[in-house]
Amino acid sequence: MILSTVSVTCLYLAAGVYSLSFVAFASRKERMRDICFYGGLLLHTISQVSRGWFIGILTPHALFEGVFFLPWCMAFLILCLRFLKNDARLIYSALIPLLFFLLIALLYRKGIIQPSPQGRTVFSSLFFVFEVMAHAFFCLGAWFSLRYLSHRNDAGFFDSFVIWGFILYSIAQVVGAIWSYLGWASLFNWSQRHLQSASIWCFYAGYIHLRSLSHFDMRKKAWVSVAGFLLVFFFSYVSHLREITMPRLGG
Amino acid sequence: MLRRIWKLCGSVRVTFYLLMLVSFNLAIASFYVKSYPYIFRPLNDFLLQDWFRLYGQNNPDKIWWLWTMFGLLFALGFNTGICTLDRLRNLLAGGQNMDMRVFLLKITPSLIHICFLIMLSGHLISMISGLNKRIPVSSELETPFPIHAQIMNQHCDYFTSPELLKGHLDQCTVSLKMQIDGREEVKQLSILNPFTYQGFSFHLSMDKKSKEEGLQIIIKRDPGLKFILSAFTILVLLMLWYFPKLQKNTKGG
Repeated sequence: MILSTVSVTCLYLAAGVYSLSFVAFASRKERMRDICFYGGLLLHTISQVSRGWFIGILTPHALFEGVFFLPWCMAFLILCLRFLKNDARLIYSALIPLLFFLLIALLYRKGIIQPSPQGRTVFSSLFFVFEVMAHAFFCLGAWFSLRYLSHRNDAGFFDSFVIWGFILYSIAQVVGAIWSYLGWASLFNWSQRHLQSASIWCFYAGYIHLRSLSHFDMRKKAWVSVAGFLLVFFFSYVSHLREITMPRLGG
Repeated sequence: MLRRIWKLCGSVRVTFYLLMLVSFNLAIASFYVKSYPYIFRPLNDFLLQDWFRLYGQNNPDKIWWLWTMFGLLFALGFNTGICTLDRLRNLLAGGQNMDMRVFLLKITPSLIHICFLIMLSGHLISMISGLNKRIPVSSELETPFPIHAQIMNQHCDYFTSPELLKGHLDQCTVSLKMQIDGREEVKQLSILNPFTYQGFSFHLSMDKKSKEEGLQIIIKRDPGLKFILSAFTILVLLMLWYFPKLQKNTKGG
């Protein structure tokens, strides 16, 4: 079986096994929930890694393409949380956004974007790794904010996610600027993508300052975190989705 | 009265609202830039004052957001500057009796703000000074005085394997003969591998079609580059140290 088939098959299998994990979570079967989640993540990892060799040679852009890499990052963060925190009910509720983004990946074109000479630097790969990981943090931060607004489970939970998302997003901006300089001779371009990234960065920089404002309680912060993710979704994630129209190799 | 105005100008509440407004302004800007590429794309190639003379002043209804953005960024810089000065003054006044680690933790936000101010200034310097020349590879190279450059040869490599990539562009290289004050030097320029010469950086780039015909040489002198990149890197490193430390301290009570 060639690697492209492995990648696609494992992606569908991972989605199925995650769904089973969610059913087990909803019906409070803890052991099955854990086993299915770990199994799903294993299949998902195989899918993601084999995607890197989709066309026969390693293409990092395929490996870290936002639409496919985001659900994996979210699953990875859920796994980390599972080891760091005790509240399994809150943690596994994040399977809902994970399944949502995985469903989009399942419906999306599976082929890879034709590699461009301007994308073949370690800085481009690092940019996507940090940017998509930051999106995953922002997304789960917004999810836990919504949970906090409806359940008041863990006050500091979403805040840490947003802060780490902001740090990773800032690293992405630094390595992205280096990539932009090497490829286009400029750290910043007057383009839609760069301006929207700057908009997101400023929004979350604002969020970071909320810790110094006493009249902004956790509920208000939670709302700001949700609004921040909407910005990320409509600016960054939708720009990833738009890449569906680009010429693709292998499907 | 003056004291109250000073306090308001440097308040974190004002910082928060300014950042939200800048974010909103940038969001609007992104739609204008997308909708009017013939006005805003040249902003990447011209200095701000030249671009305004050639494109901006004829389209005031489409560039209004640029003025509001400059206004907001100036206000944000002013606010950050005052806030940082205030913090530093208070810290240095009470710093003698403070434990070193506590002092470092307290001074880090101010250092982050200084980095941010350097970044903002760097962007301004990049926009109003330096040089940015974009030249198609096929034509005569017009280089900034006193450099003279000549294209010796150019070639592009194409993928021969795997099957799916056959015929797609892999890399392009241009050999340039550089001359200055009678001295000659041959330099190789390829995509993502720029070189610097006499204070100018030379880049090989391509237009959106990613075809050999779209190859361009960009000659650049960007005085703000070092400020932006070093300040942003230090800012990120400081955040990587500060926030985990802060979270640890908060958890520890």
